[in-house]
Amino acid sequence: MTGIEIIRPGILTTVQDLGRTGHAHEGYPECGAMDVLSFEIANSLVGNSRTAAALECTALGPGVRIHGRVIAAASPNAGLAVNGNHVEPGKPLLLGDGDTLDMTAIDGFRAYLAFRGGISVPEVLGSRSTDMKSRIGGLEGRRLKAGDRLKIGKTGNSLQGAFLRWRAAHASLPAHPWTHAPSQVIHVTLGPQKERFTELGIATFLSGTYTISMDSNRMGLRLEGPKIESDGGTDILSDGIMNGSIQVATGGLPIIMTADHQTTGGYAKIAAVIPTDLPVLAQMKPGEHIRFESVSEENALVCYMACMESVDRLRKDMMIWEKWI
Amino acid sequence: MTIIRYGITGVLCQFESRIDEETGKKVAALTAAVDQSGLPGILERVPAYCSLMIRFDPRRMRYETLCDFLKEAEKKLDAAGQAKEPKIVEIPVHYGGEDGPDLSFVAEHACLSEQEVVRIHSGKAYRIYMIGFLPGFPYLGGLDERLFTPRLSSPRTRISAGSVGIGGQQTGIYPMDSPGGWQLIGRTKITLFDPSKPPLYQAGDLIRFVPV
Repeated sequence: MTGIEIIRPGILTTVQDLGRTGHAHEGYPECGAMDVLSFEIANSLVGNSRTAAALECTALGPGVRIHGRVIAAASPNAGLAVNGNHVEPGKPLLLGDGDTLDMTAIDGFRAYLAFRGGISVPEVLGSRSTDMKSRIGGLEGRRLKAGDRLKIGKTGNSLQGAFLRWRAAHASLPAHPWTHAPSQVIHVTLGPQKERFTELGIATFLSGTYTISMDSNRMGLRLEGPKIESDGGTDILSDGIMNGSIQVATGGLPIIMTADHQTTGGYAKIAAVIPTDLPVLAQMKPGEHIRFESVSEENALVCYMACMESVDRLRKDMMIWEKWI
Repeated sequence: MTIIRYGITGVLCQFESRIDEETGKKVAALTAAVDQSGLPGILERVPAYCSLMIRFDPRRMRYETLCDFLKEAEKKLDAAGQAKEPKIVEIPVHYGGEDGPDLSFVAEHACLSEQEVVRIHSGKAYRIYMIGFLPGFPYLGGLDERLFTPRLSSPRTRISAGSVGIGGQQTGIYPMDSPGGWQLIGRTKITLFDPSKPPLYQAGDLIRFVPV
């Protein structure tokens, strides 16, 4: 069986894809990769389709043993070692039976490890993403631990590996918006409940510096900083939430809802993080700082289209040879 | 109904902010209209008490196109809401005993006998306004006010799947094992959480509890 065995699980390693879409009204959180851009780059580097599942690694990456022959690649922010020897980041690797692959460093907070053919776990409601709260998807709906084995979907041969490496050498990877700056600007569009806040409240939100709290996880980032003044409280009759919604809780502090968020919530939402800045948040650690800047929907849409195009271009670059071999 | 832009991938259709059957019917009718619209790129639609959130793929549909559709759909809501008979889902419940450890408290609090609490609770169908909190967790409206009971002062760390409870002015069912602070009055043996099957109920349906 072609697959991988977890030797060291790292801090929080889970199987993720682009998320469980179309079931929010049944109460299933979306889940999926927190940093979709890095996830797509890793998948593209091994010539996978968008829907293939990969490993999301947090803070401290895993070590795996290879069974059979596989082609692997990590997002460019990960340091990798094969059998103890460091390899160039952002390149596909051809690995043989018994090889060990270690993620030795993560620049940022989350990195992705993709295998040609994808992680082969059963789909639940159309997705392989791990939903740790409902305990579905991924491997038994939980984080990976030492000794776990995961099958890899039908894998390519060494010739494909060679082509991928050659392709990757010539491909230009999409730029990632995260930088090493100690404080990052996160772009938001205001609404849908901005009228629940006073002018002063909105001004506080857009000028204050917020710190990512230790209580943050894949469900949401809790923020500490200046309290946002509302007009008569922030309780609303619960309504739908999406990835990037910023709720303001009773105490006046914002919470950014992320991949594993509940599907509905009862706090007013002052704004939404633009989709292309969610990968920035996914790379930030508790204790780091952010500041919000408001942009128009039109500008946010232009950023989104450009980002998606750069991902599409990379995928085409990497897959163009597929029909020849 | 107000159409509010919700980032570049979403829209919130907001009705008057209240919990009542008329609003619930409008939300259900609008949800059905969106489902039947054939619009490309609709990724999610989440009906709630007095709103419908729609998430879409901006590469497949423009915001303006969705807005135009919603404005047209709104004109037909009243008729659509009246026409559709809601589905009634019967949930067999064993009230009291180990399955409903707080039934006696609820009865005492209401100055009723346990039998009367069961009779009142199972005596009507409840509208599902929203599914949330957990997969399959129904937010039900219309609990008889005699049964309003405060939540536990300290939540239980584990409530068994199928437990039926009362929390404040609401009643509902825990679809899976979970922590929770509601007063538990009974339990159903029906499996409510099974991702391999279509859900038993959705927002807009009615739930009736049948004592067994």
